[in-house]
Amino acid sequence: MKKIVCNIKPFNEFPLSGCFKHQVLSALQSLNVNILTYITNSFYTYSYNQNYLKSQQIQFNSYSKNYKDMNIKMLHKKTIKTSIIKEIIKQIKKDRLVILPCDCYGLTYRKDMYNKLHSLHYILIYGYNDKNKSFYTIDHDYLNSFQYKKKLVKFIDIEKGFKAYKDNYYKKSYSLLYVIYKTHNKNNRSTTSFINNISNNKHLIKHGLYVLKQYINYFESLINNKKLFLKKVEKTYKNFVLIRQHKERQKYQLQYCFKRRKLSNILNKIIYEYTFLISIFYKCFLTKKHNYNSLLKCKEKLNTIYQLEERLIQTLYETIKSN
Amino acid sequence: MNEIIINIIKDNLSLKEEVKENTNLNNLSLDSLSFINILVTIEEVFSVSFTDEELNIDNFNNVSDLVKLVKRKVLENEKDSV
Repeated sequence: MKKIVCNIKPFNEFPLSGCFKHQVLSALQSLNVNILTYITNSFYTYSYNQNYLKSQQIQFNSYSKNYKDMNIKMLHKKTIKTSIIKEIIKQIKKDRLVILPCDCYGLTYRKDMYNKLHSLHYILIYGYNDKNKSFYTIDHDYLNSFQYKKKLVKFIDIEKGFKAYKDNYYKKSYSLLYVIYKTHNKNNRSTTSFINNISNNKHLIKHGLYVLKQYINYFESLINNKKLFLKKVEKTYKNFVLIRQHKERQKYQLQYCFKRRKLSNILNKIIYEYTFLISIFYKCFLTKKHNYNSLLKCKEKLNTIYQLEERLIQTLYETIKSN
Repeated sequence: MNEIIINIIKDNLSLKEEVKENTNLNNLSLDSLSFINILVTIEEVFSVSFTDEELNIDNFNNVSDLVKLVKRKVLENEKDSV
């Protein structure tokens, strides 16, 4: 017997923060849900703690409310009475999609990690074929690849990947698999909720700008103190790397929502300035050198970033108004 | 020099496949951080230094662009020492 739940389409529009989110979005768009509701449920701003600048994600609604808004049910199954293969088939027979946690260490088709490295991973399963003992899945070929595609994977390989998850990651309160299905066909909410959420959280966004300014004020004392700088350089460059990643995601998020080139142009400039900061800080970290002139340039760059962030928020509000 | 730079790239990226001068940097699994690793090694090996602006991977299309820049810097160093 063979069954496919729906016409699946992998989500490769832009990189998300992990494979789980990619699989959820593949499932949502295949179930004909307005994925803007999911994509626009958060916004990146800044936090400043113990003299470190970090990226802060404002999440507007809880995941459960977000799924409810999309008429989606997401079950976290914590017990399974039969084998994992039988359980997946049971869910697919009910027209439900399955997201299965795995450890790449046990996945034979993951050439980069099979029997080499452990990594928690999620596979979307949307069908099965009893005849060739295979599942229809969505997955990518290697870590950090944003090219998810359809794959036919043998039951035995899925079993191995799942067993590795149970052996190396699973704890009692964790889910054994996730089941997604649509509760009814009505489609509501879209960009409107994002506009409302942004408008309702202006104070948090403003606070993000305020803490960025605070960090810039502190930055001078950081670069003036060689010992302190060398102590903090590693964590600081890593934070900048994360901020740059989140700015990339924000660029795609806003592009996807508003199709306004002005917003992505500003974000491209912000990303460019962070790339400069990362290069200087990472080089200082590698060489253990405190290059004052380069660090002074970084201060200028941070000021430019602040101005760009201000312009981004202003343009975003203008865009929202015109919508 | 070309071969040394190619070896530095290969060592830093643990590459087994062939890298040529016309190899596009985008085709190597190279990100902005691993690119800095390569530049710092080149600085040590050839006693040259890259400017802050040169640390950006986007300034380089292929291996040859990097080789040319290092050659220029080595020449400048030689001129200065004469």
